Amino acid sequence: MNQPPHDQLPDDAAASPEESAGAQHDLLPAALSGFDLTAGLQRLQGNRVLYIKLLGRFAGDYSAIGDEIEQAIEAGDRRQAHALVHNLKGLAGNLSATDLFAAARTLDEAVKSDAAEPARLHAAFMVLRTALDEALTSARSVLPPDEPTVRETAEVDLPKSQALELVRRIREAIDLGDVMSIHESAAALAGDTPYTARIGELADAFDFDGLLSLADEMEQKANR
Amino acid sequence: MVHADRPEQVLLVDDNATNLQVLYQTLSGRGYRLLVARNGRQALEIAQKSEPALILLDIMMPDIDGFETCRRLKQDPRTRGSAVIFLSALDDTGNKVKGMQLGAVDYIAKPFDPDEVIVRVEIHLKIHRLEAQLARRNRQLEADNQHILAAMNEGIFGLDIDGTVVFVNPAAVCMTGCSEQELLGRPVHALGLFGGFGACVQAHPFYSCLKEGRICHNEDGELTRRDGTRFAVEYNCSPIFEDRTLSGAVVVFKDISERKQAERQLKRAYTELEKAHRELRDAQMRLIQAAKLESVGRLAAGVAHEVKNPLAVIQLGVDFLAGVESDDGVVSEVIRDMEEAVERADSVVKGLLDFSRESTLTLRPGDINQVIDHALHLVDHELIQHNIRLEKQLDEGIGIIDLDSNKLQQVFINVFMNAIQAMGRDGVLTVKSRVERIENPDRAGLDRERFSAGEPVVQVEVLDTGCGIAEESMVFDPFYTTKPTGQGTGLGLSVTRKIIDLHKGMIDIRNREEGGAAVRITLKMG
Repeated sequence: MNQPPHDQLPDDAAASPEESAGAQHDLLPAALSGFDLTAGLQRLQGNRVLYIKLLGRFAGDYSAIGDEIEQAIEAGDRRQAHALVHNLKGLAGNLSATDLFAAARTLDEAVKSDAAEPARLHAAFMVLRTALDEALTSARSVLPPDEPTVRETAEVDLPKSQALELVRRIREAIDLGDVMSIHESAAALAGDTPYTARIGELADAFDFDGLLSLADEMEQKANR
Repeated sequence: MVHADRPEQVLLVDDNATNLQVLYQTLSGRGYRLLVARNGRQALEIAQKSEPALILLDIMMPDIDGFETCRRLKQDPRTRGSAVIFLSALDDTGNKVKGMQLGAVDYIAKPFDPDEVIVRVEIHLKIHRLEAQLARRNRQLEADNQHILAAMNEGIFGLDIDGTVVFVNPAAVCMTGCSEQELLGRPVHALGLFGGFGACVQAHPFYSCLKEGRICHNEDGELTRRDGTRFAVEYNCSPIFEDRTLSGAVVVFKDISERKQAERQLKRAYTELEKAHRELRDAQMRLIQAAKLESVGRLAAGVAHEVKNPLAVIQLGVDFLAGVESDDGVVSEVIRDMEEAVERADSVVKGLLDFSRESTLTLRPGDINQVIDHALHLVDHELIQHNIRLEKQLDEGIGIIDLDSNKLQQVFINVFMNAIQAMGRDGVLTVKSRVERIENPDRAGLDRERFSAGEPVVQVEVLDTGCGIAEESMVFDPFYTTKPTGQGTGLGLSVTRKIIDLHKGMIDIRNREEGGAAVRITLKMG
């Protein structure tokens, strides 16, 4: 049986190895403006740590999307506007940002329709902007004040053969889209080193490009 | 592909990492291995390598969208077995229909309910497992089927409803001498294998099977190989029904040339046995006839001997009385009648003695035509008296053969006289002689024990235009005669055959189609 990544485990399973997990857990209030936390947690199988992490990513990655949508609408690029709104709608739905989801759905319908008047589009956008700002503010409110500092990987040397084997396995796992293998390989070959944390972070974000860059770095360092 | 020793793989495809993470979390810890792709292109590459059981596919993605990704997945034999579920915020009916038309098995709208996703994933994985099991079972059955068909000695053709060959087994390929490629996809009548039906498709028995759904069976068929050689086959064409609808036929045929050969050998052996039996019966009949003739001969000799002496005394008495002067006309007439009666009795006695005498031949080289001419000369008076025209067709090239000219002369006189008597007045007597080479004694009606195939013989034929003979089988029996009483002893042809037998020849007699009788005498040349 395969195991999920450590930071996606349900609450009780994830709690022990991560000291920060408890802190993040505490940051999630009973209610959050613009969000249906009950539905959101249910979708994540009760994983509060992951919910906070996703809210944090939302706060970081989507702070500019309101401006991007507005620019696309003003430029008459409905296709781009639709792509952006659709993306936001999916994300809002998954995070149970109910007001934002409703606003995104209304605007999504409007930008898809060629008949929609600019005034209607504008009105729908203004509703979305309000809901987005509210959701971003709420998301920022649950973020921990300071992220734990991860030691720089450059400071650590892995034995050459171990490093090259880890590089090989990471590349192979990326080829297969197998995030689980990446976590397993890091744990087996890098142990309790900054590499394991860094690799885990990238794998959790499904950042395959970042993982490949890290693998290249490790290979160069091992062959140096 | 499902492997019993490893968990089923589920590929999650979405360009949004947060959405992926939510989905990943939903499906984690449920016993299957989760794979992840961030775009359509990556999804295609991973699917080709990993062949996941299920793919959860977002629609709106940059570069290649979900619909195009699905289309490519279903086109690729390596990936078309993966079940695709669309997972998208595009929740209008048009997108759902389009997704299904592209080969997706399900569509889940975002934001999804995790329980719904889990249940649907479980259901489709189960379906995929069952489909994989079914496919394996089908492959196994297909393999078993192939092994059975390959092991069969009978040739098998599968035909579709139009009579096109859609399946052949190795035995059929071997028997026809055609390759599989030459047979498959062609109408069976055009192959000309089960010949005799030409271009008329409707006349082909397989087509009646395909049209009417009746079994067509032939125990005496013939199959023409690719090289034109033929052999005997027994074939059976049975209709195939799918859901009670005639959908094709299967032709099973087997080489029965060995069986046919055995049947021919058996028939030949039976014919030979029958012939041997016939010859044995003929020989038996000849032995019986010989024994009968011997008995008759001995009896005739005894009777002739006992009658001859008293007849001599009577002859002397009649001669004496004929010398006594008498004016009584009646006495003279009685004496003349007595003289004639004694002469006739003497003739019968001589005939009996000829028949019963232990004859031997005095063979000398001689000319058969001369013997015939001499005999004809002796009956010349009779021919003139009965106004009978003579036609002679004697082959001058016969040459000299060993013969007893006196005895053969007696033979010819007997035959000529019989012919003259049969014709009465006016007629044609034809006498032919020639050299023949016997090709087949049986077919020529000659005794195989006396004559062999390829042997040259002399044949003399005597044809008359008379009344013919009553019973061919009895004419050579002693004392058999159809002449009025006092005009024949019934011994002439018996004696004739005896002489011919002594020459190791044959005599036979038959009625001619145009009327009259034909006597054929066959003599050896050497």
